[in-house]
Amino acid sequence: MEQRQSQHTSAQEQAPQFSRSRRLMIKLPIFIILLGILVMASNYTSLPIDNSPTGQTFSTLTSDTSVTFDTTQNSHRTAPTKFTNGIRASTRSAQAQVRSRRSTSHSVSHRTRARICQR
Amino acid sequence: MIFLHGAGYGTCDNSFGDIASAMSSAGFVTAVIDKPVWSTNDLTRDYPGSAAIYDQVINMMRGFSNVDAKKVGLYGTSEGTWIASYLVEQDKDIAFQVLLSPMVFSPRHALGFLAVQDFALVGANEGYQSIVRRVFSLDGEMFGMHNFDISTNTPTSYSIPTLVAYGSKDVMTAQVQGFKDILEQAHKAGNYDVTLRSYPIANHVLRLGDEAMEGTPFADTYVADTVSWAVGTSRGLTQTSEKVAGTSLYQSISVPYELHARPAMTTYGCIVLGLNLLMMLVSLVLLIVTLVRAIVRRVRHKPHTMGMNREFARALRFVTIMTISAGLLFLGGFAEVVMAVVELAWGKAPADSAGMMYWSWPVTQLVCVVVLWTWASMFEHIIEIASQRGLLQWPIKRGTWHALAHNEDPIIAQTRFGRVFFWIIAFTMFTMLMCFAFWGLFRFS
Repeated sequence: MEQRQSQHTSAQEQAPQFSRSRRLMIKLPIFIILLGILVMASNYTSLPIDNSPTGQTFSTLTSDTSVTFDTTQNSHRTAPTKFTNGIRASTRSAQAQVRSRRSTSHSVSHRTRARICQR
Repeated sequence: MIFLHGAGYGTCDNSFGDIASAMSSAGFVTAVIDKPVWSTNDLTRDYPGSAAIYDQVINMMRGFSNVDAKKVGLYGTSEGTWIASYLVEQDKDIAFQVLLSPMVFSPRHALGFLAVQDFALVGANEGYQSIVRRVFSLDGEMFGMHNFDISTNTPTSYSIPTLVAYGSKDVMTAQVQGFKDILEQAHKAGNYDVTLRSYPIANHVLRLGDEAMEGTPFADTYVADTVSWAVGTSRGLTQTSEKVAGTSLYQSISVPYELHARPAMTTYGCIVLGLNLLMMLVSLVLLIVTLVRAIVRRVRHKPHTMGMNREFARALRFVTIMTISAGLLFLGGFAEVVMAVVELAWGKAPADSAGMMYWSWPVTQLVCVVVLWTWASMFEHIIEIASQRGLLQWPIKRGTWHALAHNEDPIIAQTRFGRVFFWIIAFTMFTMLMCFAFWGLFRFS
């Protein structure tokens, strides 16, 4: 046993150490393999980024947020009218909204604009 | 009128006090209840169950002598608008709905949008932004979370007169696409009574100032406008004011529709993160055992070293310190981003400079590369020693083989405890690198 150990130790002592360039030649592929494994793992979990379209806007017809109703109607209905005749075109695009606004402005102006708030 | 809570744990005492008072002053009977959450949390919330509870309250109110059973409306805010969708589908007699900052899309897309947009707004590095996409691509069904992909954006949900209210300072909702979708669904249901009111400077809950503070006022004439709309609509009057009014809506990025459940990625993530957690616990136990062993041996005047090769001991120490430092830097940067997003959501303007939220990502990447180089050095050193001992020759000499098989002159450490210590700590650090890779830290483009 001791003999074997001494043989082993002497063999190790006799074996030359790696030169700096040889060490680098071994280190480099190991480093590349390790990095490759981890880069692959990162790429596997990465997801496509698609933020377009960016900066979307939706124009309103007026900055006046007050809500008014036609109070000349019969206000004693038993149930609210669920599908009142709204400005349908206003929902499609800003341009369509403007057109719609122009086309309906006359009829609106003839109504009584009143704020309903019973506070 | 019934009020549906947003995110959090609102009660009947601390929620909707001002708007409910305004509505009751206008003649509505209002009901605010404790948010029905039972034993659920934010991830496992039961929206259909919540809708059923709110509907019970509505039915109770319908039994009051001063309530018109056909004129009961609902007022939902933020997360509550998901419940509102279920409620409108369950109860066909609900007369109208007021939706405050409606989420519209599924939680995966709505919250994914929130996180992606806000991470960008606070100036977080794109790496941190990519984490959001990974998180919102997890398959919640695997963990019993069924809310990720609920479908509440249906024609029925918007088949009744609807008032949608947004604030321009709200950074949590996709307002343009959201409102367009509401209109599309409402029109499919034949409902053209959809009103939009958008208020400048108002935050996610249509208030001015910090959302985290109590008692902040509603924006502009929001309360008066909403009350007017509710009164007029409940009476079945025809609206004469513009349906779409207020400040223009703006949306910085699109809703991330590309996000969907990815079971394979979720499984891989669970394995990597679970293994890392397990190894961290094992390493912690090992460190405690090492400490106790060292104390006991010192008391008994016995040698307490592990007999580790000096080169490997030094490399292991370096790898451990650098990997843990990288982990702390990564977590610190992420925590900074989360805090900035929370403050942004509450109404604070983003800082001029992103600071750590930006530079912590590339620095962590650099540290990881240095750690990998040290790993390569360790393996190279093992190969060098093996070569010196003739282990890389073929055929291996009998004496060399015997020495290797019986660990007569081990490479890493003289003691078994030392070898176990080395490989467990080293493997733990490698699993941590795998975690970093999962979150995209090894993606350099």
